[in-house]
Amino acid sequence: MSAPARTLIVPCLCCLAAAGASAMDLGLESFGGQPVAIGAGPRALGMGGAFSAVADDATASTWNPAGLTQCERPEVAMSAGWYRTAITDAAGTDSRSALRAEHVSAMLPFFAAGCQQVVGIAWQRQYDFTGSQSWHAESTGPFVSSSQDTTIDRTGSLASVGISYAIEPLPGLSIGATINRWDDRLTRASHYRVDSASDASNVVFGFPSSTQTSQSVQVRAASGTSVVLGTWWQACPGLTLAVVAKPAYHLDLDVDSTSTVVTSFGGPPTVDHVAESRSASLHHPPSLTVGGAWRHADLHCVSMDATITRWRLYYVDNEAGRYSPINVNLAPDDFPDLWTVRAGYEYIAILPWAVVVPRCGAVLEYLPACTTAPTTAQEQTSATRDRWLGLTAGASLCLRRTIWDAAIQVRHGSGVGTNNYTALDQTADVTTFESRLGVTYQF
Amino acid sequence: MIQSIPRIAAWALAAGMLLDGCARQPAQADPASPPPGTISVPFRNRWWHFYERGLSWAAAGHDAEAEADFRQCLRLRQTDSRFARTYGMHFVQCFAHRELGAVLLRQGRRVEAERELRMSLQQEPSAKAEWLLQHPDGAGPAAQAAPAGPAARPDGILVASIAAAPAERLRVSGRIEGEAERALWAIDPAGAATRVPTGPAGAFATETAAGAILALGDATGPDQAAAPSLRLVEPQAEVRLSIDGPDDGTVVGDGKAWYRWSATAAAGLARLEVDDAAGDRLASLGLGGVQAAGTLRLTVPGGAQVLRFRVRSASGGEGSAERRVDSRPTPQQDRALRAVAVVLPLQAPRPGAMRAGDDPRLRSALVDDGRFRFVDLQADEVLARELALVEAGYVDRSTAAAAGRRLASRYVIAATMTRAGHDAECFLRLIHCDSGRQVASADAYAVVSSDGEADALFAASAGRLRQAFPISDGAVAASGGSVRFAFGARAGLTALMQVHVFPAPPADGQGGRPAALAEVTAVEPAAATGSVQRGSAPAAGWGISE
Repeated sequence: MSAPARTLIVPCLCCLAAAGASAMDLGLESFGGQPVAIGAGPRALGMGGAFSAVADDATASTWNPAGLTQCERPEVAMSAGWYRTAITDAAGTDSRSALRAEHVSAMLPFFAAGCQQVVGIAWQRQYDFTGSQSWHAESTGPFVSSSQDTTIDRTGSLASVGISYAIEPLPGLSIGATINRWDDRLTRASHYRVDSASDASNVVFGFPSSTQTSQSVQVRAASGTSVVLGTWWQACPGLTLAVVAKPAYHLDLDVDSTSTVVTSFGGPPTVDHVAESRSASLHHPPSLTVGGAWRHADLHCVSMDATITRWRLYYVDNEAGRYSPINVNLAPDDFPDLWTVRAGYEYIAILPWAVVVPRCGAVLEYLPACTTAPTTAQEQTSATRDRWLGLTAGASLCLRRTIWDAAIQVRHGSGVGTNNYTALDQTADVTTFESRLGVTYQF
Repeated sequence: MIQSIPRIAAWALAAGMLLDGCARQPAQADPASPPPGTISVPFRNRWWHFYERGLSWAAAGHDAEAEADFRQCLRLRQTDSRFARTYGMHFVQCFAHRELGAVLLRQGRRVEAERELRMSLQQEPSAKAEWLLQHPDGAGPAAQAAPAGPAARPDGILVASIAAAPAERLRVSGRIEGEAERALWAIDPAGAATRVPTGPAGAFATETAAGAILALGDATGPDQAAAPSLRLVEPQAEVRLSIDGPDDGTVVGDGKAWYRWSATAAAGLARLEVDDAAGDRLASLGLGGVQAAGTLRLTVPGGAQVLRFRVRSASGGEGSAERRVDSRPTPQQDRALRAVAVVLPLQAPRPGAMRAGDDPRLRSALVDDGRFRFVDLQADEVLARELALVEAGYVDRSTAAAAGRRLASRYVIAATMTRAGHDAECFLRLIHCDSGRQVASADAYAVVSSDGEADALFAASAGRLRQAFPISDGAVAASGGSVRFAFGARAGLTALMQVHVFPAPPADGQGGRPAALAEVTAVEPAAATGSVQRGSAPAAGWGISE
């Protein structure tokens, strides 16, 4: 192949690889394996995340800050999480696990101007990227055939520090807000890294070639502000209702990538190193949650939340333009608004020596996705949705002023993850497992 | 000069402020006595705020305000609970029905109070609700001397008044406590039994022969052997005496018999005297005022005795009552065989109803009495911490029983103390841990104005508890796993009590090791049955209670 063609192809491959990597490295998943950040704490996780109308402890600032006004005494809480993602596709199963501090929060109620008011602060790891994927892709055509093996390892997270305020202007009716800052220099945990490697063999018009690409991308949140607005209403002694709005926000990201491409066209290989730094802006979509909780006889609590997310407003802006983190070939506007429904239950078991609270929950979640392409070379794909099901369980052990919480969540998506967890022409069965352990102290 | 005026004014202002501050001392808040109607957190119209404020009002005697707050609490929350959830994992006690009942009792609204208290017991049983139902006059300060008739007994007969009627008859009125299907009978001196009609809430009013006995039973007849009975003694004009203590031939150990008494006389009380059947004076107390009460220890000669209590008024009037006891030596018992009990921290039904030294005094009195072996004090301290969830003032049976089981104790002694003014009342309950049932109770009342008098009150409490749960012995016959005791309720045997069975009566208290351990299952006045728990009981042996 003549030099100009090689020159043409390699950058194209690099661009594609870069763009693909950008899409993948910015294809965010939360600590629970979801692209939608949820609140903190094992108790809420154990209830399936249906916590917006409950929100009656130190973690409320991350779920529904308006719920903080229920609290009458200061509390501090912290939790850690261990999670594992297993992806099963045609190439087999990849899994990776990580143990992380998940959140620390504190809140202080006070009474002023005739109103119950609360201030709080929370640090929360909202997105975690720990994961490992590998896949094999082949395509065969009359003039071009290719075979590629790709592995991607990710580690890191995006975290936020939030200040919350809530007030109860009328008995039983509260409003609240949390302002989160995502700056890495503030949170010390708003950065992640993606290492990818691919080994491709191509035959183009009968001429064999091979390309080994390795890339390392470091992403750091330089700045970003998000807001959570909440209301909470005690409709009657046993029923509480809540509305939580998360407006759209964006994170300014610094992306540093280094890539090495070794290309061979049958002769001596050529090695190209590319190092670049660029900025990108990741735009998160707005969401609206409506929730309710019913408490019966002090012993039972049933809660349910429904969240709608405007996924068309989920996109990345960089020098290359605007594209969807789901698939660079799809316009962000192609993705529909989608629902997530959560339900949870907890039971208060009063023992002579302590109070034990078992709980369980379920999640039905629709996330934006793309359809499977015929081949990796033919990128005919369109926006669709993946369905995920989750089950949760947990328990609290209440000993005087100290509450120990633990919870687990298992999420499963069958035939999901095209272009996010696996190649463009494949789907995968993805199971995420998350466990949280936390402690709350009540003053 | 002109420039100095503002400075002088400033100094004058500062001096004035200083003097003003010195002259007007800030009110010194007594942390032990928060202002009535205040709660520990800002008031936000939550049900637990109304409840806490109601308690604050009630403690200060503002009954109307307390009633309003308790009723508002009940509009928001309808059930009493020891673990009422406020928010998150926060729990508080909420006994709005019970506390409303207590307030209504103080206001004299007994029917409403009883309804609230019974509802509270249905929803969340509590010792305080039980106690208030049994002592309707004790809802406020320590119980005043009962003005008429023998003291009320649980599931018993409360006589409100006795008045002389023509032809040596008596007019008696009162009410019966306990199960609605119980019937009241009057047994005349000739032995004829006549059923006494009872109205709503067990009230009765009848005319019977002097010396008749009122007894509870069922529709077919009286059951004097098992149910409480009451001998009617013609009262002297204007003088009333009530006695609570052993009767009906109950065995008293070592000649010691404890009685709680109360007396009233419109003309003023003069003296209380107690004589035995031989006319020997056992006690003589000078009295004053129109009401008096106390707890009395009598040294009773051995054998069957009739104790005659007589109170005289300043005008020469007289009230009397008789009690029959059987005085015997307390059985010799190896200390290692004694019942094991744990004493819960002394509770008070309301703030200020006990003093700091009351708890150790009671414990000392119980230890000195020697009836029980106690779990060590260190365990009690651990227990006290674990009982942080105990309801204010009273320990419920289930909590007490669970606490006792944790410390490998067979019984729990739960005590409450109520001080008011110069008098005090101590109420003890003995709770069987495994079943949570109360097997005995005792109370003592006295005027207490010094530490010595407080010690005497606690000694009386311990003595009355021993009297209600004495060490008793007697012949035992075993067959298979069943045991028949030749002694019963009169000797002090109660259901659930354990009895150590020996092959023969021990000599000089040295009985060796018991052959078996039996537990009483059913009790009659002079006999009882039980089952063998451990060992092999001889066909004919000797039993000593734990």
